[in-house]
Amino acid sequence: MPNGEFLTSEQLEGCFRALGWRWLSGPLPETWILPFRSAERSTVEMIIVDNGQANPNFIGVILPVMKGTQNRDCVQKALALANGVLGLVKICIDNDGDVTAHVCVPRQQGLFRCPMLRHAVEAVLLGAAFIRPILDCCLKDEHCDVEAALRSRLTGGPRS
Amino acid sequence: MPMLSRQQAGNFLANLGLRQVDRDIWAGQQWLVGRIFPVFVALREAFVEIEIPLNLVTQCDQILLHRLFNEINRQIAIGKFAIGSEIDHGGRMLVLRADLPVGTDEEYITEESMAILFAVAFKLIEKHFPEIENIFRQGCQISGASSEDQARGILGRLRIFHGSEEEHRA
Repeated sequence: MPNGEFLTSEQLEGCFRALGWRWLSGPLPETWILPFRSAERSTVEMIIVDNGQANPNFIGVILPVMKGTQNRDCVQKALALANGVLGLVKICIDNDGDVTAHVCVPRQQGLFRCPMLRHAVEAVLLGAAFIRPILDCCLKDEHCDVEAALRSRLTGGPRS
Repeated sequence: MPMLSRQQAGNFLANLGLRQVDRDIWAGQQWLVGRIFPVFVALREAFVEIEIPLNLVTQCDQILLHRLFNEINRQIAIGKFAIGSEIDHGGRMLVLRADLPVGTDEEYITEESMAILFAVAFKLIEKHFPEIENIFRQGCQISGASSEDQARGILGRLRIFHGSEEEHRA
């Protein structure tokens, strides 16, 4: 990534404001928590935004999806398949079994525009909503047919 | 670093030698790790995406591959290795996808961001393709099964094969 001026926290908060978002300070400096109402789950999703904390070249937009400690092989297959159909968002599982949806947004001022953040937030919300029923299948059914669960999501059929 | 409009981003791709194959999609090819890969670039409303099919088609559970993809994907900021959609002849193509969000149609993306996306995608193929191919060639694994179950699975598949041979002969 070339050198250049990075977005400051004030500029990032200015973007949140311009996009009409509310935010809370995160647990670490240069991190924020943004609540978004999820119509699908009737809950509030807490999206974490970091200003170059994970990677100095990017603003990280992260949504914790769920805990996937059981049937890890099934979960990893589900993620590999979902990552092949979902645009922009990437979904991973860490060693503790935490599944998260990520999007990176360029942090350099010349490369950044506020709507990029909106697209990033929409992508993590969509990604999490898409993958949850498939992961539920993995967690609840030892013999879950992941491909059938994926197909059902893509065709909008009954949830697995 | 001027922002390109979506239209200008398409012209940028055409100037690189990519061919427009659909309203939002440009196609080309790239020589990497001693072979030619197709390269597709999609200029979507919310993001730009480079997709490179790895020319490896998976037709069964390849747990080691799913694990490797997750490991790599966790460590990189942009890009993801994944299993693509089902293809005509059965099975699913392994793919690399690298995406960045865009602004608006008028202030869509910079040339620099597009160049970064190409560079990251090609670098990821160069770095990880040999290991991916190696693990892909190890074939199928049965999820969480005991060695007895695995043996039963293999016997079952042999019986199916034997059956289809007999059908073929008949």
